[in-house]
Amino acid sequence: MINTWQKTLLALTLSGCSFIGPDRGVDVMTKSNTLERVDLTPRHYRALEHCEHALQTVPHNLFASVQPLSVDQRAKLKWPARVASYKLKDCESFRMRGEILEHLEDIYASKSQRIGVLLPPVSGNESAIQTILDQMRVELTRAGFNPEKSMIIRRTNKNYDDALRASAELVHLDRVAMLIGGLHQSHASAISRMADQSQTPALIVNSDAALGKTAQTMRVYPPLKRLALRLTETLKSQNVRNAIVFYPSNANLELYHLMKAIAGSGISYSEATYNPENPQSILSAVKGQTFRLAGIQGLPAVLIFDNFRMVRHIVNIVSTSLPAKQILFAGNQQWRSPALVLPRDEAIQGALFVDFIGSYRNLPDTIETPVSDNDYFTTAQAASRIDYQIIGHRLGTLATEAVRFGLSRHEIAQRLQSINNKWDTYFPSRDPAFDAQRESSWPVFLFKVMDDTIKEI
Amino acid sequence: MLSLKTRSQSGFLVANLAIISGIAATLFLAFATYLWSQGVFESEDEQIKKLTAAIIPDNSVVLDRSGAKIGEYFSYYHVQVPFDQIPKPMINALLAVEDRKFFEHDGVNWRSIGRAFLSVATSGRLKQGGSTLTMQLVKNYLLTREKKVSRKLREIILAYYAEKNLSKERILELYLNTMYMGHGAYGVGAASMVYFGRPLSELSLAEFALLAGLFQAPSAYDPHKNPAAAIRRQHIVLDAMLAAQLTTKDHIAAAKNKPLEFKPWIPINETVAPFFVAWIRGEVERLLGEDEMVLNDKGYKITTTLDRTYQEIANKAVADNVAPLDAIQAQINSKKKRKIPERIEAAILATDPRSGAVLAMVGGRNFRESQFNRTITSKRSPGSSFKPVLFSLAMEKGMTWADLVFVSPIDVGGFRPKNHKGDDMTEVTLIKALARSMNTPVVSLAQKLGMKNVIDRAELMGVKSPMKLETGVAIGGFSASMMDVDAIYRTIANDGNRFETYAITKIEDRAGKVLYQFDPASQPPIQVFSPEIAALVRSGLQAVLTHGTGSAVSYMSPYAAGKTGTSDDSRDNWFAGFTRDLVAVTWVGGDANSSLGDAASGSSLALPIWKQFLDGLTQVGLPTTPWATPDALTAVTIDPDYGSPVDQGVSALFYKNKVPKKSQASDDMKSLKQDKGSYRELKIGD
Repeated sequence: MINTWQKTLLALTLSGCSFIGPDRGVDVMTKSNTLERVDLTPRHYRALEHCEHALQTVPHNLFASVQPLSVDQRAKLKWPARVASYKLKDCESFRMRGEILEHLEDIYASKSQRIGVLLPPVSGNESAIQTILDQMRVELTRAGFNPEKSMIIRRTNKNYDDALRASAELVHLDRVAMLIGGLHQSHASAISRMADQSQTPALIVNSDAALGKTAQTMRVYPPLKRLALRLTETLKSQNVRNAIVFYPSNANLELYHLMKAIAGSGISYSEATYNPENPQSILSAVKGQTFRLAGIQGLPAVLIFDNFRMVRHIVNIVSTSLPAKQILFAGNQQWRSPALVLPRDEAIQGALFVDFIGSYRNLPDTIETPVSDNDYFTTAQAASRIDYQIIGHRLGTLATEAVRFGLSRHEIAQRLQSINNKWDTYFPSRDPAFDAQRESSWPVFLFKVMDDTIKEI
Repeated sequence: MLSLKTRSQSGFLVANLAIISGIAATLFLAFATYLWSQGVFESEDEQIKKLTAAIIPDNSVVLDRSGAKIGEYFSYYHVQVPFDQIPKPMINALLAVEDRKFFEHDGVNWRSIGRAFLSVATSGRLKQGGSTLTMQLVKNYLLTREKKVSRKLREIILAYYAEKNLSKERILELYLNTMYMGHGAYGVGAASMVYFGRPLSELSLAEFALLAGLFQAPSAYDPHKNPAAAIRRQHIVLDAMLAAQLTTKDHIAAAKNKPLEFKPWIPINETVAPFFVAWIRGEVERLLGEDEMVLNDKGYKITTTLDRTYQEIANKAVADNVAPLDAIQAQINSKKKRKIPERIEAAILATDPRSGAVLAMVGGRNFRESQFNRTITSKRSPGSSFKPVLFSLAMEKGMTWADLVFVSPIDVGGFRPKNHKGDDMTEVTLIKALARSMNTPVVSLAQKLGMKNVIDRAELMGVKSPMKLETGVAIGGFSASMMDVDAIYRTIANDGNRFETYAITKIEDRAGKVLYQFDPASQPPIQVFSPEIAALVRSGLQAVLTHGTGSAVSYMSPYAAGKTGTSDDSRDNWFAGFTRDLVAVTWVGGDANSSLGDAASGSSLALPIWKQFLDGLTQVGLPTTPWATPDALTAVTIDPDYGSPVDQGVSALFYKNKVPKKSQASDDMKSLKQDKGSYRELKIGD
């Protein structure tokens, strides 16, 4: 709930006028739609000054946020047109200001419990998106919401303008309390902009997209950066001074964090890419590095950012070329499979990899997890599904935790920034749900290959 | 005066007579001295002994395992026919034309001799021989062929003594078995084969007459070169027989009208098993320590292990499959700058795994054109046909056919083994790696097993060719003979027990004395590995037929197993396979080691020959009995890619305590391969 001062300041900001004069007085809208000059008390003045400063530090512009809507859609809102009229004619029109404030109350101070979702399935990831959405529904249901009413899903393509329009629709037409989306850079940018302009909280599901300028946008994604840091720290602790990084030429952005982490760790490294569809390309990439590996004094690391299948092949090629060389192989969650360790290969014993999932037996109970004798392995189908389910779980639980009390958007944003994980035992307990960089907290696990299995260390 | 005159005339006459007598005596002495100087009066005892003790030269013969002749060694071609086996018409024809009074004279026909001397007197040269068969025999055996009076006199003397020491039958037997009859043949037995391609016992009167006509001038009456002259001579012989009343007019007429079929002589050495027969010569020499010339004409009887029926099927299998070889050669030569100069050759070697006996051997496409025996002498890369050596070791080390291996492109010290297109960057079971003849997993496996161990195992399995301690050996990167490859498969086929290769069971001299004898039952085999390991490897090789490069003979898999082998650039193309009772190895390649191009492989070139060979053998009774499974093993059908037990897959044997179970590791691999990506790669976001 914003107070009268904030309403007033918003109205003035929207209009581009400022009435805070050197006399520390301000025109305040009365119930009869008249402006009344009020001398601010020092307390009011500080509050207003703080609010104004906060608003001025971000390029928010509620009027701009409706621009992506169509003419018909804007007509339904009524107020944007009047705001425009107000801007053009008379910024001191009390009547117009009154209308604006009514709408501001309606939009910004909305106490909706609806969640706007912009996670359109596109070619190649339909299954993953559907899994996330399904898990969000599960979490909403668990929290007592009706997902059919609470989740407002808009679909669009990867085009930025279309995503921006969809976001505006969610905010202004669907009156959602928060936005969730941003798988693609274009979507993340559109949602962030909309969040900033409309002061709507948004959870961005993207590992790398820049978050919005205001505190409204937060990232919810597996902690790739921290995984990379954990891995490089571990390598350093094992006295690894040299590393070679193998990755496919079509590697995704996960690699960005790894390379950045290694670069920052002081470990000397070189990269070798290959076309995973071309065996000779792989052989050439590996053979191109074996001379370097052979010449490295001490324990070199070979980091393979690819799946366990490719890991086995690359380890096979490396160990065949340098059968006597001791090498520490390392990688990420893509390594995780019984096939990494079976059949046994001596060369891969002692290898390390990081993962954002630990024991499959400890996952949230809303995620069905077939677990065999070994808690650290599940079926291939389940492993793929669970990665997205855990994202859906995180989004769903954060969203329900945010909107469950019927707060305004502003209050929701504040709540998200302050809550901790005590309500979700899977994630690091007592840690804030988001850190200072507005990144969602997430557990990081380190595994070691030993005794024909993997062990968490 | 008259009396004085008469007395003086009488004295003159006496004196003249004395002078004449003196002159005659002088001339006689001079002639006698001349004859003595020419050796006419030399002691005949030594020479006659040569004749009486004469052993009719006979070829050393090579017999197959049933006792049938498959080859012979000789300097001059003989087919000895004892007198009692010489057909009567043959003798009659000979006597009619050469010595009608043979049974009446004592070695010399004086009337004929008189005609001969008259010939000398009138022409100054010995135009007519006037020789009896005995004289011809003596001349042939003991004298030179020069036409001198002294030689003729010596011939007469020796003939006389020959008749005193030899029976008429023996003289005839010697004559008919030793006289030259053209085309390198000596005696009527050899001539029968040379001109008619049949033994003497099978000939008719017309053919006997033709042979009898040859004694006078084998070259002039050579039926192959001058058939008209031969027929004319035959008619003369027949007329002589009629004149001598040795047969009837009707028989003579029939014989004259009978068309004769002259077959070009193809020595048996070049027809049945030429490469084998040529090899056996060396084997005999090795066993007896005698050189080639001693073996020739010595009449040894060499009994071998060769199965003539198998050999004929092998011969046909090669002959019937040469067209594709020529087609490939023509195709390559027509397209590429690089040509294949030499003819593409093919060879088969078949042995009995239960004894090591050589059953059939085809060393090349055409013995006449190339005597190079590719089963013995040729050393070629065995390619993947060597792999069972390694897999036997792997099985012994506890690996199973369901074990997953990674088919990665690898480089071992610059050596980059290649796989068939599309096989790299996959994961397969050991059994599929074998069945599809993948190289890189085998090289990786060899490194784990240790190349020294691999080479030691190969030597135990019978590989005698040298192998270097190099990784490439694991996939056949060395020079081996077909015998080497055959020994490998014999060991597997015979439950891990290897017998040394052998081909000669007995060597007897012409008197029946056994000079060498080999009893395989007395030779303990070398146990290389257990029957269980042999069965495990065999089941893998059966999978080659059901799911691998040997699928063209998949229908044989219940009773046969085998492996292809293709060396770099298809220079050597192999198929080695076996049943319970037989091991057969086929090879195709060029003697100059030319590449046969991408289309060539063990499957495409060597396997069709093997297939025809085995099909032929089963048709003549080669058992097709399935193998028994050792008690400790059991058959399980597994997924050839990932090793999990499945309903439809490849069947292989496993130790009962190592039966494959459903594995999540293999499921994961399978899932990932189908997904063509990582299922734990976060596939959301840009």
